[in-house]
Amino acid sequence: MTMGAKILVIDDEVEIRRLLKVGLTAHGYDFIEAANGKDGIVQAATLRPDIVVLDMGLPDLEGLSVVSEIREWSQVPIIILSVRGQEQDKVKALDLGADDYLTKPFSMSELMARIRVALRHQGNIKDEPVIQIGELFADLSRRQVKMTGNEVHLTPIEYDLLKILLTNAGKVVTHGYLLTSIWGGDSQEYSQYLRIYISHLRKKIELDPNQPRIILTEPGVGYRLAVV
Amino acid sequence: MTDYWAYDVEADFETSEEKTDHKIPWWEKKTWSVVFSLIMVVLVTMLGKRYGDYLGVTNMGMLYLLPVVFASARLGVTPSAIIALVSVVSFDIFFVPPVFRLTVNDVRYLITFAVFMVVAFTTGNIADHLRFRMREALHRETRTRALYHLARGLSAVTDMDLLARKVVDHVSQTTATEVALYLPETDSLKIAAASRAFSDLVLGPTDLAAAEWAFKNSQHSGVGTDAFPGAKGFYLPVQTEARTLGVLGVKPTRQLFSPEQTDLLEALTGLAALAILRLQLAAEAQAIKALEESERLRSALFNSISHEMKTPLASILGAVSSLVDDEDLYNEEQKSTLLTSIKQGALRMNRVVGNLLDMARLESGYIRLHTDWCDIQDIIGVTLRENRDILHEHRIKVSIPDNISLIKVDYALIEQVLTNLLHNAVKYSPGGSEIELSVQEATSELNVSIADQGPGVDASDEERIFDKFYRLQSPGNISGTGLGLSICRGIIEAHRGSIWAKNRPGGGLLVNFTLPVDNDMAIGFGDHYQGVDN
Repeated sequence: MTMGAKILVIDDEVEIRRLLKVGLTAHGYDFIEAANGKDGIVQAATLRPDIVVLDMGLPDLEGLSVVSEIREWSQVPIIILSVRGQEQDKVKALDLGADDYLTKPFSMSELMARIRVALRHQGNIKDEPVIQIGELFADLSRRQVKMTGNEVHLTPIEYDLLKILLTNAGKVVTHGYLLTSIWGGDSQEYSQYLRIYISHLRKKIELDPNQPRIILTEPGVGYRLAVV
Repeated sequence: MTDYWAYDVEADFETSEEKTDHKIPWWEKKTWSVVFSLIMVVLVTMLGKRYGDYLGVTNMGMLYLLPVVFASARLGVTPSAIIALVSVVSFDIFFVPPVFRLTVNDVRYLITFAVFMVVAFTTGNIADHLRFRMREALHRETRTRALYHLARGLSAVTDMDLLARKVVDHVSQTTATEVALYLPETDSLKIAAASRAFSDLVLGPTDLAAAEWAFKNSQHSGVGTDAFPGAKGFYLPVQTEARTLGVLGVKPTRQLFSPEQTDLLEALTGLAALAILRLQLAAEAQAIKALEESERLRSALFNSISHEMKTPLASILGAVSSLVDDEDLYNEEQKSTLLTSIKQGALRMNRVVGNLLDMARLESGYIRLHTDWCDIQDIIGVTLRENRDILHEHRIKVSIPDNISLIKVDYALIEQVLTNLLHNAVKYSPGGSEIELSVQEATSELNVSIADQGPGVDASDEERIFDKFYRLQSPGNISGTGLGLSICRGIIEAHRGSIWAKNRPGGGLLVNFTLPVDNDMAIGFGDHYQGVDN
């Protein structure tokens, strides 16, 4: 849809940049690259990309400081690339304003999906009141949720949770964001309630709560509403 | 071997205050016995003067035998001969006619005198001999007791420092001397333990040199020997037949050691040598065992890594080179097959690397649990989604009761456990068979079990499959690092849970693990739900 969007890849690995260049240009995107954090920040400032893809393991600047520096003057969507076991860093980067993340190794299609979601949210089209995801239908203007055509009764908190996930569909939503949005704090107690409400919500809208397809867990980070 | 020629009356380690007194002559030491014998002679004489007429000369002669027998029993040959002479002279002068003269009228009295002397000599000799035997027995007993106590004290010691301490304390106590034990450290002798005053009394360059010399030459040195006689201490090599293990330094309280004392010291050092050797051999055996073990683990690691990495690498390289070199030969379907095998190979390598990293983290003790409240159903859901590529050939049956307690665990690590267990279930059971994943809640823990319909394992393997690099021998050609289950155990134990495997009655393997539920902290699903929502 947004063909020709400019994507800046900041990664010190030549191989990864080469791979992403092939993949992104093949999907019709403009590809810009930077091999370190400093260059990346300069490129982001001068070339004004539509999306930044940032590797967390940069040699010169930490990925986190690149995120916070870019966020000082730009709202460009930032997608973090990290390795397994860096959950704390991911959460920090998301708290600093990064939009999403991908864990290495990832597939090209996963990256494309993230980029599409980021571009869509950047377009500020979230005020669309009616959302259809697979069997799930939600009309936010009428506070109505339907599953395979049948109306689902949600408690107020369940509804609020689902609404936040729906308006961020496809994007990761951190525990911290959900907790502060709904309870206004992220205490241990609320953290448990969040798990419990998600579990209840799944029982109401998932076909098989043991293998959820709609509300996906991002281990250690938060939840993501699947965009089928 | 023991020569007691110089064994002196009071010279014994037991009575250490009086030892090494060879030079003191008998008349000084036994003055009191001599004086008492002489008093007896005087008493007998006075008794005779009073009742002599009634007793008769012959009986008087008998009475004079008493001091002689007493002296010979107490004093030995020479002094008793002197007492005998005094008795004979007194008898002669005071009772044998002519009285108050040394001369004898009746020559038959000479026989009496001779008998006196013979009794004195014979009794003295026998007494000497008995005394000698007694001392010998006493010495043996002392020696045996000293050795026995040392042996008993050292038998249970497993630490070299403690052993050195005990040897020094014991030898020091037994011999009432200052003692130090030198043991070789890198290339010089170091004092491993010493009695309190040893260092103050002895340590100097000469003594160190004497100790070194005794160690190198396996001979006595120091005071009283030819080697370093100027040293203050006496040095004995602590040796077994094969090697010298150290040196025992002893500072005599007085001048020199008697041969018996040296002998006892040698016996004690011999015992110490055996104990030290025992410890050294045990330590060596331990080190060799540890080395073999780490060698075994290392080669197992290399074997499994090289195999586990090379297999997928081979398939990736094969497929890639086909596509690069002969792209035109393949139709779309064949190309897609090659690409799929590349993807599978890469995913497999990714899993191996992940497992190796987990193992390294567990091994280094560095594993830090990032615990948070988790819903086990959620973890299972994510695990099934993440592994859908490998699970699609099996039927997965999940049963989780409603309203199960939340657990405080490291999400990613528990996911890793479930992943490894599911991989095993898939690997060892036929495609199309069922894998059952179920959760039960007990009072203070969750019990998670994964059951497959594969061949199971030998009963003897139920425990061993959790060992690092342990791989089942039986089912042919199923590859793996042998790390998966040992990682599971490491993770579960880090969570204070337990994990075990057993064969199912109907066939297949059942792996169980438990995770503690923190009842005090956890909010039940039912309890507060409605209340909070309003």
